[in-house]
Amino acid sequence: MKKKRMYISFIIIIVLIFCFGISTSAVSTGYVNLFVNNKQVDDEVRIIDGKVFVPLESVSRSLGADYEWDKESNSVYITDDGSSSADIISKLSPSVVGIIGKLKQSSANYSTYSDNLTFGTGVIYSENGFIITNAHVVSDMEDIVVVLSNGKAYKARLKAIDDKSDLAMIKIDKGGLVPAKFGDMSDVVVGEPVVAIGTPLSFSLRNSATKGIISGINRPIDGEYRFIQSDAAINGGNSGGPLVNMKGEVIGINSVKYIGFGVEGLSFSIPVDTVKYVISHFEKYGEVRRPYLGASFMEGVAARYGLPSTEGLTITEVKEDSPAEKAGLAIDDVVKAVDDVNVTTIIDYNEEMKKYLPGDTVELTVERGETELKLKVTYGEDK
Amino acid sequence: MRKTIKTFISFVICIAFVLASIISAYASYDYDSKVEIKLEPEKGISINGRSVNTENPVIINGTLYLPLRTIFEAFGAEVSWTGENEIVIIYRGTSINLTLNSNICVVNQAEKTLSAPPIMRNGTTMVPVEVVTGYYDITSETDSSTGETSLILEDDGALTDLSFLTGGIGKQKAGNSYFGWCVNVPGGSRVSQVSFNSKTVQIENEHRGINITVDVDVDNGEDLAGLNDKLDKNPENYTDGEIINKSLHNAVGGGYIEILSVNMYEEAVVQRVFFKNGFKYSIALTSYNESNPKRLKDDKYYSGIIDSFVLNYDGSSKDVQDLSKIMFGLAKYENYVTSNTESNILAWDMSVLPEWSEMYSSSYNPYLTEIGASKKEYISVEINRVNADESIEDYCKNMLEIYNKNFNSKYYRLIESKIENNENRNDGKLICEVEIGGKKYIIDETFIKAGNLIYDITIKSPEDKYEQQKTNYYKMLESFEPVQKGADILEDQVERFAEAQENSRVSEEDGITEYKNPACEWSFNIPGYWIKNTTYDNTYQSFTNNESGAIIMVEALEKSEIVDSLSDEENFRFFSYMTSENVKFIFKENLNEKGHAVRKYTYTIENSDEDIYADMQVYVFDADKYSYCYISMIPQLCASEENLKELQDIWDSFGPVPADS
Repeated sequence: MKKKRMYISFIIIIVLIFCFGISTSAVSTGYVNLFVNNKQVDDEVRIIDGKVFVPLESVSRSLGADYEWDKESNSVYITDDGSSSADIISKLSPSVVGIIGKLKQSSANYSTYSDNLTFGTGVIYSENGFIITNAHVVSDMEDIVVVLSNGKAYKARLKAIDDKSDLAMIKIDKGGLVPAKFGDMSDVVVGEPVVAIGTPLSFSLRNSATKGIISGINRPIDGEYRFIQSDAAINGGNSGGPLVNMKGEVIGINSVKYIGFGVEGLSFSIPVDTVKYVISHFEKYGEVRRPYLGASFMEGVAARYGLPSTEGLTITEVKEDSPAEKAGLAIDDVVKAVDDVNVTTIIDYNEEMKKYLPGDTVELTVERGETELKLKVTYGEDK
Repeated sequence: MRKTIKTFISFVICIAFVLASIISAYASYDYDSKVEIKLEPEKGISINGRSVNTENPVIINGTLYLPLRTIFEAFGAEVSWTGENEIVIIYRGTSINLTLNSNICVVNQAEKTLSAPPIMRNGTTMVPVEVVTGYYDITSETDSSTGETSLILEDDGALTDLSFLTGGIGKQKAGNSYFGWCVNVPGGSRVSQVSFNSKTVQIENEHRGINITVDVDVDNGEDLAGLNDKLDKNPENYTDGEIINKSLHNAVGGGYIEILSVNMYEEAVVQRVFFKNGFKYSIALTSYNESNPKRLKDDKYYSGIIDSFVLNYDGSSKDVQDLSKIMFGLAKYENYVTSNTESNILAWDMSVLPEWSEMYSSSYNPYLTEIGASKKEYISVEINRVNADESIEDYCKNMLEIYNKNFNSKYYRLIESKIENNENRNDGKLICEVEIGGKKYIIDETFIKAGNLIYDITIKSPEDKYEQQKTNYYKMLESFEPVQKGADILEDQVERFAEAQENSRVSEEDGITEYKNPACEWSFNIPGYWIKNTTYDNTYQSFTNNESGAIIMVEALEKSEIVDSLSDEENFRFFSYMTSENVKFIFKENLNEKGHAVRKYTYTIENSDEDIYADMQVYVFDADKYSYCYISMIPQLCASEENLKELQDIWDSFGPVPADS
């Protein structure tokens, strides 16, 4: 018995090495251990007629692959969600578009001596032709043309634009498109490999891709919200294109707007949760409706340098007749939390505001001198 | 300017190649361009062979109903709710507004009646099939044996022509139906520039390395012979390079002048100038690869282009790409001002006569624009900042006071001053008659207040022409639109400009103040509102009165043997300007003033092109350490008694002062 088992577990290892490139050996007495990517899977392995049978579901899941049992054709489909960049790019390419158009005369970059052509990238997110891109790509553009990955060009119209998040929605009148799959920010981890797809520098480089890793989830120089920082090279025309994880899901929209001069290997992308938030507002209201407080904040010194801090936000200005004034907020009050969620930076506060709409009421935890107050604020509309 | 154009060519070539190669660029995934929807009532729907999960089509009272959103979104339309029972479909430039249970729908703002109303069925909006097939390029076929209906969209709207991005010309000829010219263009040409009124058109052909520029202008009474003479006299005025050859070709019904030249970039240019119906036409062909214009002219290919230039295009020929931008007889002019934000501000726009162009203005005011045929007939717009509480009535009254104070009553007559109500806006109006250079003109001024800005729109026109053209002028005024976006920034900028002007005043107070130039040891008494202009050094200074247009200039020269040995004309640089043909010497007097022997020269300026007629006095005298040349000039229109006295007083007070006093 013992000898036989030894032999069999050797086969398992060979199989795993062949399929998944794992080199490990794990043999214990009594039963067969199953390891996928060095992780032990608590499932039964059966040996029938000298062949090893592993549970399909647990192996596929553990590898991040999907499996499907098709009753009619009596077939099993295992779909690996792509772990090579080439797969990801070819999978997402139909959803990535080039955007080209003429600069409006009101643009500061308009020149009577140039052709005033400008371009960027966008991501299709609905079958009937809605595309998300950067606000700064299309804000000064007229005669917007979208070029699909198959090279066909379509006229597009601007549907909604939001400068604060640097996102805009455009639309082409074509059906049957392949929308990009959006990922989830909670799955995004530092060090994860990512691919940026776009149209850098010249329109002839449409759908070119660069690879990197996520360096951090940070704030840029002057953004309103948190950003994904990566070292995937992003250049001029990449703006508006997707940052994609190895599952082929869009986890951010690239933006060059916040890159400082002389900064290398630091690219910023708008995180997918901000993108989803903005799209949902665009669809519902045609604009992003932000709660308006009417107070100006100053962050603590620690927060400004990005140090860990429990300091809140100090109010430096309260506008007349504003919701802040009505709620009784005063200069020098320190806002510690919004509905019991702590805020230490202005970005924290803005991120928190994504949950609310104008007209919503929240409870602010405020420190005034030695005392802590709970103040109810009904937000106005940020115009 | 041309250099800049060339540097962009490489970029354009790059873009052109890209657009040309777009079709083959990326073929990893191909979308269907055709959409075919098959449906069977009560059974289901399939889109391009893929069945979809949706409310089934249904026939009610003989009308085939389809699930609105599924069908329209499959074609790529946008479907959204605009009210509780109202839906809008936006697709390919046509929008349809539907109301549940109503036969009335609105197609692009026009009301239409449907044979059956949209309905709600199991939570899904259903529309009669006519909504799908009635307004879009979607055809429907029904197989009577199976009851299956196909909805087919053959063309998915992919663009085949992207020339609107690059300016590519799809036809063999380009022309302008308003000004009536057309010319053959080589294949692959594109329009690189068209002025707002389409008087100037530039066509580039990168493959051939040529530029074709067509310029149209009002002839201002010039003709072939006249131009020929001018070319003989001052050829340097007509090229930035060198004219190699010029020939006059007379012909029945008008000839032309041909000019072969080499421009400043040493590129060969073949140009022809024609005159017809009050216009002067110029076509110039420039080759980036040829430096000898004779060779360019002798090349049949290029001479063929030049020879094809004709003046009989009226817009009816379909073989010509019409580059005219003129709508309803007027051309829209947009006045953008640069700002320190990311975008330029559209300060105002107005439709103007296509014959008119933006004119060079000698003023340094970026908020003053003149558009016209000449300095004798034009419209100008000046943006001024006012306080919120200043009414248009006050502004108009103040302006009238300035007129009355500054204009010489001999040359000026007020016709009308009033406040007009135009569409809930009160506009100020000031119309007067003035005489400039012996000719009578109407000055028709309109003041429009927008926020804290007042737009001062002035029409200047010869008296006889004004009556003829009044309808056109007022059409232009009607089309005027003040700033919409960025008004607050514009207000700030205009205010800052005005403040900078104020800072150049001789004194903050209006009253008479002593101005001293210690470096050159002179002084005079001058009202504080005069503006001191910036000059390179203290030996030369100039002052202006912005209301009257009067100018005073003082030049000082340290005395030396050389200065003493030379004549006034040789010593002072002012005299070098006096040789211009627009300046007439009247007489010279020798006076004894201020204890010095003063040479007084009197001139008049008669500049018909600029329409400036002014009187000028030049005083020259030698003091102990310096020789002085003092000039005072005033436009004849503004030579009112008051203004002349002001100038005389300033001169009377002028004199040398020791440096340490």
